[in-house]
Amino acid sequence: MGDLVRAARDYVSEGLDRHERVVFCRLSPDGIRYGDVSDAADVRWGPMPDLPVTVPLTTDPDWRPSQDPVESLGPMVDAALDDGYTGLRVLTDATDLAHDPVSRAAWVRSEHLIDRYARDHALTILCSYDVEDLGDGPVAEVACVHALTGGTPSPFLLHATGGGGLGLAGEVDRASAPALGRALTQVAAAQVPTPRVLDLTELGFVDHSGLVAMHRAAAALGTRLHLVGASPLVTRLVDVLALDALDLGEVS
Amino acid sequence: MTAIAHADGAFRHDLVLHDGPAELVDLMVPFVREGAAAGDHVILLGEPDFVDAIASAVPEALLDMIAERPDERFPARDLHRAQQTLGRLDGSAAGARIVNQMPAMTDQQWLGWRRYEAAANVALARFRAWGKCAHDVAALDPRRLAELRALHPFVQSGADSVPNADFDGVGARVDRFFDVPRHPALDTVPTLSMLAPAAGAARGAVRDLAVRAGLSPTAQESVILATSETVTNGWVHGRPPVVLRAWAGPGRLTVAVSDGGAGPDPLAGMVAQTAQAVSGRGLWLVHLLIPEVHHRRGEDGYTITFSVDSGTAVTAG
Repeated sequence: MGDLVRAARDYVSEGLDRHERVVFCRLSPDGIRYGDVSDAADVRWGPMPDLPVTVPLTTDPDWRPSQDPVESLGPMVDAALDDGYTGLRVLTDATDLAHDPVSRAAWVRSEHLIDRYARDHALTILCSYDVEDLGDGPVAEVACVHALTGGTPSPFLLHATGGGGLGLAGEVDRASAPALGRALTQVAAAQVPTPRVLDLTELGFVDHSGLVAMHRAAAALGTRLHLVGASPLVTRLVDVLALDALDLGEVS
Repeated sequence: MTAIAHADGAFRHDLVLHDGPAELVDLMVPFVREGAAAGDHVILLGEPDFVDAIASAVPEALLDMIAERPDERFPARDLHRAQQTLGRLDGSAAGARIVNQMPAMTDQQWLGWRRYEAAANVALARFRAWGKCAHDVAALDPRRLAELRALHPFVQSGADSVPNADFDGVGARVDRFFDVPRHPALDTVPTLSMLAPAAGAARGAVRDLAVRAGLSPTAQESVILATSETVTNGWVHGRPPVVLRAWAGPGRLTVAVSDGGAGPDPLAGMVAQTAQAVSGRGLWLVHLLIPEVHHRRGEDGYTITFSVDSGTAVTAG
């Protein structure tokens, strides 16, 4: 916890130095508690009992984690810019959204949509999860869709790339292939462009079970995944394993 | 096994014993010529001179020619290629004939090729094809000859191919395929030894050795994949303890992965596995990428040992 508080204070200080609006919010299925952070020294962790709900994340009382979070975050970013800030920097604790498997799956998709939006908007988000509360498995599931993570909760990362595609970094083997399959299913469902592109340039390793997981995720969604940046070996494996829901080579 | 050549859906697997390339050409030309007359697709596999000699003797045949030196051949890749080729022909009306001049082989390579011969009876069974595996008798000791006779339902020595009473299918003989002496590397001091490694840790350690040994990027990638797949198999299918050992030398890396279990089916890794397979894909890929793979089942468990060097044509085929 000490590490997290230190990281969070650095994160807040950096935002304040850049004259960003810095907010802390705690997300839960019941609603969002939310407040401005004006001093890095104020950052503590655990429950923040006196968190003022100054601006609701959404006005929709039926908000669910599966809803496109950009609908709520977009106006908040715009408001920060209108108020003269250089952007919006959010510090969240989403532990409560990751308890239940169904809610967690929906939230993973939302996390990816946020990741995609943040690529080209004045938004920075640090999502935190309490590993002791959730356990390693659920944390790996939500962590794998973040472009940068502290520690190594997931051996791979599935993140948004330019042009609406997905990028896969890190390593995938038998132990993490099921998690990759779940993450792809949740995230690829959110993707608009076809063919769906998965960039493997930053992938350090994948075994046959990781490739089969990609194939099965695509097949389960009734679509195809277009792999770019695959090594010659990975290209050969996809070919000999006859993984016909995976395409190879440059996107035409 | 029926004596009818070429019945629908039946693969006929002949052993041809010959006294050298010149005699083999004489023995095979009539077979290829007959095939050409029947409209069969002929697949010719062997050393460049042999392939050229047959092709020029039977110019009218529909020949699929694969000319490779003995050191370019390896069992699982060859069997996969045969399955692919026959699979493509499956929809056509034509039958297929295969002439396969088998390469000279070391004792270690023989252990792989006898698994190939046994696996061919299984993997190619559904294809309407007639294959002839040609071995030079000068390269066969009595033990190898007896094994080859046991693995082929038909034998040709001289002009005629006849049913072979010594054929014993894929029975008890095959079950003992992994009961062999230890790989020689196991008697030497390893460069690296890891007890119960996670697959990721095993990959990291072998990656370091592969870089130090100066392997090509492709050879590095292949040996890292093979390490990961075999360590994973040890955990998933074997019994503790999983042990990784590796021996690095200039331009060469040998890796052995052991566990306390009885090991896989003796034909595992030889037969193509696709996305639908429940298991066996990892071991098959190891055999497809790496020519030198050794299996041993002993009282203390099962060990798979594989070697790559910078010249390993790991992405061929």
